[in-house]
Amino acid sequence: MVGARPFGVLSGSTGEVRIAFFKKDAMQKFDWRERFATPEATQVLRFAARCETSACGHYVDATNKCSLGSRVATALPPVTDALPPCLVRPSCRWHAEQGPAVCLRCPQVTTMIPVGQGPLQAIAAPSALHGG
Amino acid sequence: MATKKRVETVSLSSLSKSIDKAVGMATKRHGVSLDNDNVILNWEILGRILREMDLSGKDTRLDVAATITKNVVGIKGQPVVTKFGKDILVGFIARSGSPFSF
Repeated sequence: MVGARPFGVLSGSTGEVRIAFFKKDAMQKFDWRERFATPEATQVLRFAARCETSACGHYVDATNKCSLGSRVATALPPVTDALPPCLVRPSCRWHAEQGPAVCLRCPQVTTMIPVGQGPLQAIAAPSALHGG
Repeated sequence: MATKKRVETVSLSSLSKSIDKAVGMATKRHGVSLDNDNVILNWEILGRILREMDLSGKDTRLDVAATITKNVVGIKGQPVVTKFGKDILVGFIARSGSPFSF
């Protein structure tokens, strides 16, 4: 994906994974490409990338919105009381479309979801919204 | 209503520790094993093993080389330590004959 960059890293516990958000100084000194090959990086880090709009299965042309962000905001429980200090919020489509509600749920979302993690996988599937 | 946790943040000072923890979690979550081709991730794990070894004690660089060959599953190799000028190379010579991706 174009312009993909990490903004957090896996944390929490194996049973309750949460994203720990990078502060600006950490990102300035961290060359993730040097430390990880891309497939492994997606298992360790949380990535943001430029929205591919119609080229992405989550994008709904009729509303010009991201259905994944909508599902995260409506189907997952909040896991924090305060907005995470997120480096991508100023340009985040999810936040722009769903508001702070999605930010309170975002720390439980991981870039790569292991097979068998039902609720997250169900939410990540584009068919969950389109009925396919 | 149950109290929810505040999110964690990662600063420059805690970056290395956070990455180590994340690599450990990814290993458990995704079943990443040392015999995959993800050598870069393997080296992260090996790096932790090597950091925990106290080279000022009984362990030698040859022990480090042996640790590498022992911990990279699927590697059949001879631990080696050699010196080129100021550089000390620690590693192994693969014996499998099969390609090994870097």
